Amino acid sequence: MAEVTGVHSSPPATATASAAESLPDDVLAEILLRLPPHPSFLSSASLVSKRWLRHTRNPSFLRRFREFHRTAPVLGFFLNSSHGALFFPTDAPPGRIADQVASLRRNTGDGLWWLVGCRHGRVLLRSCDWADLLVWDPMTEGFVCFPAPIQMVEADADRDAAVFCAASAGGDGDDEDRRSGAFNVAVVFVSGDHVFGCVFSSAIGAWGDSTPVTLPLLMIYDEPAALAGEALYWIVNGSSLLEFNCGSQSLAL
Amino acid sequence: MATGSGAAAAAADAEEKESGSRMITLTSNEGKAFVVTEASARQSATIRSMVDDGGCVDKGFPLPNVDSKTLARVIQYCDEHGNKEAHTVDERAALAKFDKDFIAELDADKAFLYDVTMAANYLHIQGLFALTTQCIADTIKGKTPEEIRTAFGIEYDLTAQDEEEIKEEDTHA
Repeated sequence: MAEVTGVHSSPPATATASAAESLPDDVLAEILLRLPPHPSFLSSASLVSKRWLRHTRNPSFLRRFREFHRTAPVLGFFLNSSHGALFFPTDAPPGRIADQVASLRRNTGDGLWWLVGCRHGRVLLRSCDWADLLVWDPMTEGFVCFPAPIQMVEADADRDAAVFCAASAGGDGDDEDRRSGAFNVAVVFVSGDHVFGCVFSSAIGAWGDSTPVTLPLLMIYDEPAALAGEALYWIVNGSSLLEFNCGSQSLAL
Repeated sequence: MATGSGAAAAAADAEEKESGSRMITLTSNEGKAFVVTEASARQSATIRSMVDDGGCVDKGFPLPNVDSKTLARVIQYCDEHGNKEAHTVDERAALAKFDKDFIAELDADKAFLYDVTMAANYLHIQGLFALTTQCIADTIKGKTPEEIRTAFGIEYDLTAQDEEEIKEEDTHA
């Protein structure tokens, strides 16, 4: 007679508590895998015991955890208030990101940083006059501050910007891959009867050449751009789309 | 679910393998025999592979790691999922309702919930294992580390330095 043999042969539990503690490692991992994706849950679990800590810090477990939940959790949202950019976390009380964004101050102008947008784990902020841009990675707490293109500062008309990270060469292009790499900031602005597009690359630490295109009078709204493939799209003139292809640095309406 | 001598399984014709009408005997570690349909038994990947490999279907399968109480409950799940169709919206809704009631009942008896989880893991019953581990995870999610330790009877063995390092490393919002 064939016996169905298993890996585990723990004796019947005598008490609930000991039964829980005797759950084998692979079962405990499956339970932890099903915690909600917000990092605060794994954080609490890691503080339970050495065994739980080992599980929650295991790289292959963390990889499975991301695959299981597929989409990254929403940690909160940014909003421009009358006191500059604020962060509202999805779980109370306000954590480190909210503290950090509330402490962002400039030495000049109105002293505030204003939110432009966020993508691929980076947050793009600007000074009130658009002279300075700030890219912030809330996870690593890294800041990069750099001046906007001079033509854009001088142009008093409409402008907008977007941050994005290119997939690394050989990377799989997922969020994890993008987060670890360099970032780019694309700006579009109207100066005279030209629309300009320009990309800042953190890898080079400089703006590329701006590409002017003569287009009918544009109204660029203060709304986040959409990224599709290599191109960013802004809604302009109410119902049109301004396309800026970051690869070919070309603008089209 | 039916309990008995296993005569039904022995009498079943091996040629009927594809029809799923054979009966299979599962024996708990207390020696109690449970006769189930093959469709029900096939909810367990462990038993399914043994059946497909031409295992000793007629002689049945002893399960030395599962007691009678746990096996009866596991079979209740397997019968529902193995013997019933889940093609229409109504049929799927009925199964979902069954799962909800099934896990709610288990959740009230944690020690039994862990036993069923262990059995589902051992027998590789994927749906049941997902159901019970999700239930346990739901128990954990609203708790502080201290509350989790109390609920699970876990001894606190982290050092102050461990705690310091964890809080340092955690970069969540």
